[in-house]
Amino acid sequence: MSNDVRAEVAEIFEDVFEFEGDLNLKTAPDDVPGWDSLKHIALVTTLEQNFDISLSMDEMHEIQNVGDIHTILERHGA
Amino acid sequence: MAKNYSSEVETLIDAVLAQAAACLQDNALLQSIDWTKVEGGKVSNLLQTLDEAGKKAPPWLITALISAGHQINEQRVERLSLPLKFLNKLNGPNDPDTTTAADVASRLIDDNDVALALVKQMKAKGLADTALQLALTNWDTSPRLVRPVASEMKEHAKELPEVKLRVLGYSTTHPFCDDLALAFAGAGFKSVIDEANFGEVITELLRPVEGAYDAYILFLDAQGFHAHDWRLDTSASMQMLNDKIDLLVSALASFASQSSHPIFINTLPLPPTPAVGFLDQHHGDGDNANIKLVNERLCELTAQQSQIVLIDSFVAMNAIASAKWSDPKMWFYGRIPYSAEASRALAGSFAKGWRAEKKAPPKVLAIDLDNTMWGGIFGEDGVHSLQCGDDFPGNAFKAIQSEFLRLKNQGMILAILSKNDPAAITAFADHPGIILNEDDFVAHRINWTPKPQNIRKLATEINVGLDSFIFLDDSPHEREAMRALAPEVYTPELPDDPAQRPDWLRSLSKTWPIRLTKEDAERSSMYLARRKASEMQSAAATFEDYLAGLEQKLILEEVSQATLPRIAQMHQKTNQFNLTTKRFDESDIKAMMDDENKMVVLGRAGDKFGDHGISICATIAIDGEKANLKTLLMSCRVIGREVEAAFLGALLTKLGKRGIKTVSASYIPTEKNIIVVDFYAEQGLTKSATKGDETIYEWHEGNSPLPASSYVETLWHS
Repeated sequence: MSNDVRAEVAEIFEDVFEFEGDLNLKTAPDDVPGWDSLKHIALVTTLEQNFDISLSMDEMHEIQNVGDIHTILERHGA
Repeated sequence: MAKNYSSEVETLIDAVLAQAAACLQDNALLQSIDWTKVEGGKVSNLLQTLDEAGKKAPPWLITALISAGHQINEQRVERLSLPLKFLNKLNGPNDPDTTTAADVASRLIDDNDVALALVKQMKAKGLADTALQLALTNWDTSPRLVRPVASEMKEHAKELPEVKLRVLGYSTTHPFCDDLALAFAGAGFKSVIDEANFGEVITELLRPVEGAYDAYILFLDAQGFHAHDWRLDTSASMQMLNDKIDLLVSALASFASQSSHPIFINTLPLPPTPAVGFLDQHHGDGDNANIKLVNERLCELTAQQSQIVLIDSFVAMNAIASAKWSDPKMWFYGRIPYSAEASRALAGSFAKGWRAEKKAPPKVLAIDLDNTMWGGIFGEDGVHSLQCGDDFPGNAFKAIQSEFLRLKNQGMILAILSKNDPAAITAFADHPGIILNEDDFVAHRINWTPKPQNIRKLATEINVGLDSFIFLDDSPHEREAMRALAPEVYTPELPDDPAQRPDWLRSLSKTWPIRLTKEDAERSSMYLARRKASEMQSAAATFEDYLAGLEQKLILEEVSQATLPRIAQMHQKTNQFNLTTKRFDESDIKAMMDDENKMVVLGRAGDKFGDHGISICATIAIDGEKANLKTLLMSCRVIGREVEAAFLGALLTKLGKRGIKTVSASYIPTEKNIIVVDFYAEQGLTKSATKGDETIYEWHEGNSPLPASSYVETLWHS
């Protein structure tokens, strides 16, 4: 995971959830106010747009914390 | 984000830069460098290395360098687009030129990296408003642009006129509503969006909340509206679809009869894949066949109900491949019917529709001659060498002339604005391939005066504001001069390639009519009649002789369903002869029409040269023996002919007969209505009070003189 991708994911969290707290691999929906199923859609859309990738249905479901996001981004070569 | 490459990587980059010429030759390595992490000195060296090797830095490399924040020597960027040149300037130490910044902010930038760099640099250089404008212009294709200007957006939205929207849909509308808010901000409106409960379309349409919303938006999608039930046979399935359409159409008709507000509906997009293979277009089970059926019924209804505005989803999404109109995982996850990019594109079209509903469209197309109207230069090539006709390349110019005629038929006025030998006008008669006639143009300025000066004269002659003009010119210099010296004029970037221009002109949404009134179509001929009348004025001995010779008639009547769109349009568009400039829209006028204590009166003016159509109107509130003229306005094409006196006289007589003893009327000044500052005083009304800017006049039945004109015959039509 490159430093750039970490920074970009942090920015996306700021963007989608207005979350400015400490972001680590274990950060999960319970830690981020507003990370509900509706906002999850915005999160996935923004990830897709920013990294120019397309996630599958399973990957959408797979994201349970920030670490999962990184795993998926790595899988897509971001 | 990291600012520099690690020292290990830097060593490799240096090696690549040293062999840049060879890398370019083999199309290798240079493309993968993140130029934000390479310092300026190394970039200059790179360009110099290439020069020495006799290689020209290709446009993609220059673009990448400029997008990464490097400033490149001006002569290398000469051939690049204006936005890129401007970004290059922003990368340097000097203060940016605000006129160019505003121009760039209104352009569609197809390279996302360039757009993002522009937004960031504009903001960094203190041009936050321009940065925001650029982000909003390009947001639908490049959503990342909004992030750097998010805080400006909040501030900006506060100043915009507010619009309350109710959004209905058969599927999830939430992500679409977020897009709507941005799209409306881009169109100049602050939206307050209220979503109906999931899937509640019919109940909402049957019971609209009157007065709570400025507009309804029905966000349609095929899956949500009608998911094909393959357990049914063809006839049962068609029956079910027809029942659903009947229900929707009757609910919409009921909405239109109860609500005075517009409803915007998108057509259903055709499916990217067929349900019945090769038969899909006509088979009863075909997705294409069924969707066309739904759209057809919506079109039929829209043609009868002026409150319904159909948004063509195909036009809205035509820049996106149809396979990307939906994102299946999002549908399965949360019944989200369109992909993110399709949703943004649709939101953009709804916002354009609202803008067309609220803002007066431009009225005049001012067109350059050489290389715009025809190919070639009149003064150098001579009339018979000009390119226009059925053969290549003149056929592209014939095609654009045909587009000008199309706009004329839709109510736009054509004018010529050319730096040329005045004799160039003879080309319209002398060149066999030119399909336009001199008479198609209401006015022309063909001389050597600068165009921004000339367009002001045209505006005075035609009697419209500068903001009513669209200026088309092939010369970037003329366009730049117009933007700098007459910024109110809309000066779009005409494509360099004449072959691109006809389609480009069609795509210019500022020219799209949202509703055509009969007057729109006839307006061009009315203005022409007016010009002929002014020619007669110069020949007539006195002004009185002229007026007497006009044989003017004014027919008055109360507003009806048929004339309502025109009256609303006049309230939106009229700036000069407008006593109070209250911008009543169709729903306001409709409400007055239904209220027995309100009157909306209009006058159709005509003379021996032609019919001017509905040219003057007033709205009146009645309270017992008193009445108040809330608005009185007249189209500028009949100014100066005493039509206004005749109208006011006939109106006051009518009110008198209704038992009204006192009529009050106000003048409220604006930037544009100075010509009517003394109108009521001139008509013999008495000044009774002032309230801030507003001056109030009164007319007393029996005591005050009755305005009249001996040159206008009036009659009431019932």
